[in-house]
Amino acid sequence: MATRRDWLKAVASFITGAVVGSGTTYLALQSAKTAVEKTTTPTDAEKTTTGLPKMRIHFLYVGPIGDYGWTHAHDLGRRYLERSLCPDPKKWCIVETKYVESVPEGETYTYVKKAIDGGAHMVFTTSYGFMDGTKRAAAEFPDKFFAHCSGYFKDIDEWKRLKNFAEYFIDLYEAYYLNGIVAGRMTKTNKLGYVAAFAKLPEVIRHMNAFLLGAREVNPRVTMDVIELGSWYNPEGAKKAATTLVETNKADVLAFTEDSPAVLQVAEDFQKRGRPVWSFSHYSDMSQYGPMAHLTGQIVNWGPLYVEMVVRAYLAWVSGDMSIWAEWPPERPRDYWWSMKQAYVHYSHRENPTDIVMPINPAVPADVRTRVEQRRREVIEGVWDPFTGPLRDMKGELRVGERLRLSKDQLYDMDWYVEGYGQLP
Amino acid sequence: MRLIQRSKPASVYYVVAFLSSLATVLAAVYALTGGADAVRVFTNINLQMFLRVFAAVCVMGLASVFSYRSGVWNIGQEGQAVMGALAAIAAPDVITALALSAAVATGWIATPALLRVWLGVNEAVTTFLTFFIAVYIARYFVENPLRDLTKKGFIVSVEAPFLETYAALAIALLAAVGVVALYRARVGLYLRLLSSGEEVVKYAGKSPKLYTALALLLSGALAGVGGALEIMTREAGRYMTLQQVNTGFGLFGISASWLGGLNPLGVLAASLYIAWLYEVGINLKTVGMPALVANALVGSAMVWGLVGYVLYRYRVVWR
Amino acid sequence: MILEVKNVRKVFPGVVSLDGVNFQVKSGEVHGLLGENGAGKSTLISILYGVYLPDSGDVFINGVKTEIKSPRHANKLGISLISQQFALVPTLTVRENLELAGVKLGEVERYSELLEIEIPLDRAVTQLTMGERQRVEVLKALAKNSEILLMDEPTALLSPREVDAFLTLVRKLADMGKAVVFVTHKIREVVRVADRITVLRRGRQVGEFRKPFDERELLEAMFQTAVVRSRREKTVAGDTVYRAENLVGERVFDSSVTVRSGEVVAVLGVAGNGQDELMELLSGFKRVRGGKIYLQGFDMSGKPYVEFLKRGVVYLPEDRSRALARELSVLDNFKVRCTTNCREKLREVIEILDIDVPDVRERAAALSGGNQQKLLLAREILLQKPTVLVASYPTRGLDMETTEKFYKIVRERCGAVVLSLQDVEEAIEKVDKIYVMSRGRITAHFTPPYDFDQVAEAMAA
Repeated sequence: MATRRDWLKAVASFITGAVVGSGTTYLALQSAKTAVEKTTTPTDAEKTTTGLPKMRIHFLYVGPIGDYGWTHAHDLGRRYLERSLCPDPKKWCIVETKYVESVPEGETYTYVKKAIDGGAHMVFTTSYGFMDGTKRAAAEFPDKFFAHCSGYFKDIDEWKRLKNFAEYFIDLYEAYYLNGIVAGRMTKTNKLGYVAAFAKLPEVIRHMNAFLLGAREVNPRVTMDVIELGSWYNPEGAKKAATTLVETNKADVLAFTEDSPAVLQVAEDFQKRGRPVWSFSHYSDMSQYGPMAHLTGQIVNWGPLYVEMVVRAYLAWVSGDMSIWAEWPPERPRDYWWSMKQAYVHYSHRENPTDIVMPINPAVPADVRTRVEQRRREVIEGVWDPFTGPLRDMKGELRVGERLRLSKDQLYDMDWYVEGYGQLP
Repeated sequence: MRLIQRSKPASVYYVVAFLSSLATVLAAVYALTGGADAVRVFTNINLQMFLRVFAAVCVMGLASVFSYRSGVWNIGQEGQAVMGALAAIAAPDVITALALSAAVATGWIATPALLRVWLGVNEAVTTFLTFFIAVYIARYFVENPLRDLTKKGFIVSVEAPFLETYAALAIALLAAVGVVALYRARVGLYLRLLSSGEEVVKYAGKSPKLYTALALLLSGALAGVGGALEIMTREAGRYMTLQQVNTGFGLFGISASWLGGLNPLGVLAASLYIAWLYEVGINLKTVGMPALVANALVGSAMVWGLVGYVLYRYRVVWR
Repeated sequence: MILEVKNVRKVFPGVVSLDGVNFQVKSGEVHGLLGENGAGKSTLISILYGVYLPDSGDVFINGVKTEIKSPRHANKLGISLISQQFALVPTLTVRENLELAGVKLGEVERYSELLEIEIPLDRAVTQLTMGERQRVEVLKALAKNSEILLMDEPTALLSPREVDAFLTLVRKLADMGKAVVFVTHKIREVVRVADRITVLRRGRQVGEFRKPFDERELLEAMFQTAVVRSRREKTVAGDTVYRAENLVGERVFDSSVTVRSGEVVAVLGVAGNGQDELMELLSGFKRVRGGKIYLQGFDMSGKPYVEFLKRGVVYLPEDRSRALARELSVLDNFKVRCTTNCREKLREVIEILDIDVPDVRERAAALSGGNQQKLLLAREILLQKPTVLVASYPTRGLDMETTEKFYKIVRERCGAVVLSLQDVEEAIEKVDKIYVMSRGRITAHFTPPYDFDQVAEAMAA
């Protein structure tokens, strides 16, 4: 039995415990307080036995890493980077990476500063909302390297001013175009469905347009309906949207820009019930979530891009020659815009880590595969681009003239929809 | 186990709750990081950020006090903060931003308030649900009227005017003083009477509906200002994006109000603590802990706050 | 079976509720526990029923030291409590309630035959009178094989006729061999039913009395020195100040009340006959659905409560928590009606009414029930001069001395008074006119000289 007194005793002991606990912590803090080491130059940096200085690289992620999706892909890239440039931590190692998950966009600057305080030489920020904070930190720490994913330079002055800052992105619209070709031939209802995280975001518009262009190239009767989710990650919403597209809108091929395999799983469920509905992988290999319904798809592998950027930064860092970093890649310095073209070595993503296109489902007829392979080669060789004129928008206005292509900026800012949409949010 | 109401509330339990929370945090951080990193986690404080978080949490906490002290349940501070922040974005300068944020957030909570007093709809439910509506409205504004067209392909709102951290601090302290003063005044007396039931207010010759609405409106207005403060004191990126409309500071405010014993001065103290916890959370993330751990720490503070409140009012008997 | 406590002490923060009390009850007897409100009766019952553990002192059952840990434990030991709050679900039938309590219906029927009491098994509890509900509770306790029945103010809600029947039932229980603890503050009842009587005063045991009982002795024991009850003085009634005609509310129908200047008028009735609502309607706290109210000639029908307040109508609800904010300080509560010099004024009234307030910044909830009532009286009657006072059971929970003081102050300060009361004796002694209320209607009214039996009869009808 516990009387009131016993209870008081218990509380009192807990107070004592808490006080003692915090007191000891305080003492520990006092005694263990060591100056936070700050490495600014390669000469001070920690070195391996071979004498190579180690560059500390910090990644800021917008979400948790999880099992798939945007942040997961970036983290795979980070691990690829570490594997490539630090194969043996004792001997051959020039990088050390750290990451922070779920960084609020409004606090980018603080987080970047904390990373620098923690000894980072280079910081990657992987969400477009991180741009301003990263640029601000770049201006404040000219001897550190910064790279921001999916942003842009405001103008040429800014580009000139922030020599230690780069933008980078890997775009998937070409892969969506190839998916579209498959979709256009596989659909029986001539109706495609698209589950979009944000239907007005240029990146997503690019995906949707390219997908629709691919489909209509092989099957002009095809139209596409779009449902918007309002969130990058929303499996429940994606599931509902996909089901609606199939049951109400009679779509039988579903593409999506969302961070989960939910749409593919819906397609798989329909397949299991004997109704042919197809979908794709997006961002990572999702084929395990829908082995029957999975047509093909795109994966993104940031690793090689990270390696390229870090190698340039590292060389600039150890040599002190900023131009090694600041004037690369030659066509658009400090503005990395990768796409399928960088994947030309092997046409298999398993053998070639830079490949972004998934193998095609054996259910797809051979002539379609041939067509896809042919287009793919043409895109990689640069003789074809999905957005090659003449292209008209929904109102029939000519957007891309005969035999013309879109520039990077025009692609980047795409805010118009090609012909062939049914329902748009 | 039973809870027996104390005839005299025991304030000492707030101290117990606070120390317990502290002990929880210390233990958790030590367990997770091991000694060396822990020091950095506790002490690496970015003053600017600390103060700005403090100011925002404090104002949100005061907003919560307004509602809970009157026995009404506004749990939609997050939504009101979103509306306040949206108003701040739309405003050309700081003064307008503050005024507009208070006005817009008041208008925002008016619906739940009126539903409560006219139809008796539970305000906890409505304030919570209006948060989701606020998110969608904010997204609409970010996509359309308030979109920053110079940001090219980004869908980002224009930037809110910049507010110096010390000014935000002053506003937070002013708000605290204001709340104390209001509670000393007649209006405040009736607001506090409300916690003992609507009939008591009616008995005093005042309209319980009016004061219920007032408590909610004041709470909403302050939460709106809190949201505006949060976005305006950012050092960079004073905009909203589609994916991050809300910040979670509304919940911190609720924690602060409970941990602070629903007392304006207690809220000041609790906000300091929560701002520190927030820093600890960031530091934990920087040393590689998952984001969830950091959130759990702030969450544990809220739990301890509630424990403190319960023990303040009740005695626990094990039988 | 013998239940006994020895030398128990129970302290609540700031109040010694029981000190050095010895009490024993055994099978076959009714042991009366007599005392004023706040004397410690309820605390003692709570200890016997396992609600509280004593701070010191011991409980013995059949001479074995036992710790009654909880009400459930008490039930297991054969102890049941019959309180004013019935543990019955109002919307279910009696049968369903008994099944819910897990008692055997056969047992219940056996006892009801044995005691010659009838209970309507298939009626919903809401349709039963208070007396019937009490009988259900007693049968429930018996069917659970309880040997000891604790009865806390069992007659409080009963009509005079039902009281009679109930006291007979209690005697029968003792004759059956049950032990009964009969808690009350009514000397007349306890004398009729008890074998011995223990008197408590302010947490202390004054004495244990055996038959034959001397009512005067008991009264003196209860109040230390016998309080001289003042009789109603002949008052010169003035003009009609307040007139309510054919009031209609939710549970009140067609009720008219007239009060003349200087008069104290009582509405009598068995609990639950609409008096509470009538008081709300009379004071304007609740808007009437029909009927007219005239105050000093002004038509107040349908006006909001604020208007009534402005004209000096003061309402004292039965439930103090409707008028006092428990969580706010004494001073803040006082400020609800006071605007200037509140501290001084509060100090004055505390002195006048002898309110036990250690600190004006203390929460109102920390005060004892009686002191809360006094604080309310001070705020509503002493601070202002009411033109009309409307009060619902204002003297319930007050000791006799304060009750006397209440009538004195009320007569001094209020233009006119309407009270609801339950105690026929009190009404006869104190008021100038009695209305009797039954099923939401005023069924009779009496003016002095009163005939006790007539009034009681009207209430029971």
